[in-house]
Amino acid sequence: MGRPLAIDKLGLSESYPMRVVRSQYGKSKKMLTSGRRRTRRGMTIIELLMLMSILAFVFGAAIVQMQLLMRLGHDGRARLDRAFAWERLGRQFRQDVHDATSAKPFDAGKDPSLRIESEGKPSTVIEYRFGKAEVVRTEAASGKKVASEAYALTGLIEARFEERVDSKQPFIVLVSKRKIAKVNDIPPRIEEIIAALRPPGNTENTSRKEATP
Amino acid sequence: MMKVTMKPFSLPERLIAGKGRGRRRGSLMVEAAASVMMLAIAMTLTLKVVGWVALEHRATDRRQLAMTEAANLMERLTTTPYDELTPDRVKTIALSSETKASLPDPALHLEVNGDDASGGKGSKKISLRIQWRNRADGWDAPLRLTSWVYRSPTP
Repeated sequence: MGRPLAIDKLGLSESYPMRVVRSQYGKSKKMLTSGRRRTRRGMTIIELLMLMSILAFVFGAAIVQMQLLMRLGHDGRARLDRAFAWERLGRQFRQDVHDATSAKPFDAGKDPSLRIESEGKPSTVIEYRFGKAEVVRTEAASGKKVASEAYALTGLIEARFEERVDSKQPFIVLVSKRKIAKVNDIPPRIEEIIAALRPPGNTENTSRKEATP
Repeated sequence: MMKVTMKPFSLPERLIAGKGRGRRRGSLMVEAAASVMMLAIAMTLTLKVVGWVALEHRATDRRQLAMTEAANLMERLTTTPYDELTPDRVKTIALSSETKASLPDPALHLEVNGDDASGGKGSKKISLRIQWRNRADGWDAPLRLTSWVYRSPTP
């Protein structure tokens, strides 16, 4: 009798002619489905509030955790960058002092600097200056600026330059003071880069020769 | 006709309003407890990871400090006049106070070998090793640095 209806599933069409059933329930399929929907219990306002508060807690905790991990990643990158910058600064500083004919530290209050001169063709003047959490190296040849590089050292509080003599050998020392932890209980760490300067009267520079025994 | 109209009300129970009302009660609390437990596990794991990262940071920091110290010591040693560079002389060299304070129980080993096979005649090999303790009270992997110095040619 035409296409099967949902009402057939209830076994009604077997006992009663479809016409009768239709007369009882009209558009039977639609009605029965909506009747079934009415049986589902809705959520009370208390349940909804509880659900919302639990979801808020879960999302809040997830955000806090994500922030913590992002900060951890950022700190790790900053440490790595600082380590690379310190390494590069050490190499460059030693190279410059080894090649120098004279080096003079200046301690002008909050802005200490080092002036390194080397005679050659052309003669160069290199200046190291302590900036905000960085050490800036500026190179000038024949009075013209040719290079400038900033070594960003996270947590750097202070950098100064000193002259020292050990067994008649002069040294130029870069002394840095840096904060190693965010808490104030841990004192700042003092680190040094020691570079040997050519002794007066010695024309041979102090650069280590290549290992060619 | 009346019989016929009554028949459709013998629908299955699940379709009749109100019959299955009690079955879903309490499911929300179980779901909430499960999600909170999963979150607690995730947070515990995160804290563990944070702890490991902090340990790694500390280890890297110590190694970097030791590297700076080794480079500074080698700078001093290589500029020492060739004849003054003797095993007795290097015994007087010690780690800086900052390194002693920052590394746990640090130890410095210095060796000077004259006319070493790797450097050849007229050379001195300077070997430097810095060690420090780890959390298990054992020695961490040491930091080594080796350099050679040569006698200046006589004019």
